Amino acid sequence: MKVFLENPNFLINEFNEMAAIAQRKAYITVGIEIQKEEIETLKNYRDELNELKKEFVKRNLENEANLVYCINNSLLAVQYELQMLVNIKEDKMAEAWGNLVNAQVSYGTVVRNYPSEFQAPDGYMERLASYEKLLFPNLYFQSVGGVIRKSRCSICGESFSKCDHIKGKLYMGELCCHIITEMDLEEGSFVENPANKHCRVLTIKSAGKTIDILTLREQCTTDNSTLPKVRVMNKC
Amino acid sequence: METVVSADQFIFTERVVDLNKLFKQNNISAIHLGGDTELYQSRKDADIYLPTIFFSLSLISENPTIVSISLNVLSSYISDFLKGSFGRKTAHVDFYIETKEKGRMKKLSYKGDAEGLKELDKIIKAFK
Repeated sequence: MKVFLENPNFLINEFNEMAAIAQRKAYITVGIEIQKEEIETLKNYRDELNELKKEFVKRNLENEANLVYCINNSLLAVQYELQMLVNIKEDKMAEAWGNLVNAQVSYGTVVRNYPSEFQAPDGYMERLASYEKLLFPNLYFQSVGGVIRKSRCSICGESFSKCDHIKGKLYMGELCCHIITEMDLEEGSFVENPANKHCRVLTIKSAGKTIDILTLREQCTTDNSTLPKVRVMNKC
Repeated sequence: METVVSADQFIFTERVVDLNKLFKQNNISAIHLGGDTELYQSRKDADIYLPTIFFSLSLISENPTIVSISLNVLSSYISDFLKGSFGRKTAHVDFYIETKEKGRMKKLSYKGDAEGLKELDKIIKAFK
């Protein structure tokens, strides 16, 4: 069992209230101005959480710092969810998809690290998965493969194979990432379940027209390539 | 790659880095074929490609629990990895087991979920 020097219940109760209020506004029917206001509220509260985490780190309270990370990233996921709904209303579909993936990634790190003594918010991951099926068409993804030549640990900066930090785990409120600094690209494949859902096919060409996969609108382009366009973003 | 002519040709899946650390945390000494390397194969799809694992006859005979402990480490690693994600995802791992018959090894290829790995304990031991 993890020992908490600070009583975490106050923080958890406050988080539950914040999350409940924000989630009540995370419906497509809720006014866009109300959702935008809630996004700002969440940002401000998360700023306060970051300050609190710094205090815990200063006092070497790792479990407390990790708990703040989990609370912060849970709220960040809701913030991304609200932003996705705002994007849809503003007809910014690519951004909406990006924010849904950001929400899934943020909350994924929470699920993998939430202290077992506390109950993680139930069913939220499924809610984020449902958006994929209900709001977006079937998408095509890509995955890259290659040989990592140089990499380092985001926690200690050492070669990732030499330190003891585990990728995806929390250390003093920070997520351990494997930072690849040099890699030989070997292949790119179309996959059903990618590691990175930002890496998706953006457009297809049909009858000489370039069509946006999300909106089905024709895109103006000077590119004569017949290959589908793919967006790639870095992920740790 | 089926064969290598020098140690610098060994390229392991990047998962070997995490597993080495976890084996170490569980007091299991795992040795890399070809020694230390900084080259790792990376595949950015959602499946997990684990390194090939070799159990020597002497290891299994002298420490009968080593197989189940190792499989538990692998299984926990996969479970942790899959937490917070959805969609069909599969772990891929090959085991080589040294048999009592001199110079002979048996290969076991596994493709499945985390729970199924734990069931391999008896099969691996029966292979020796």
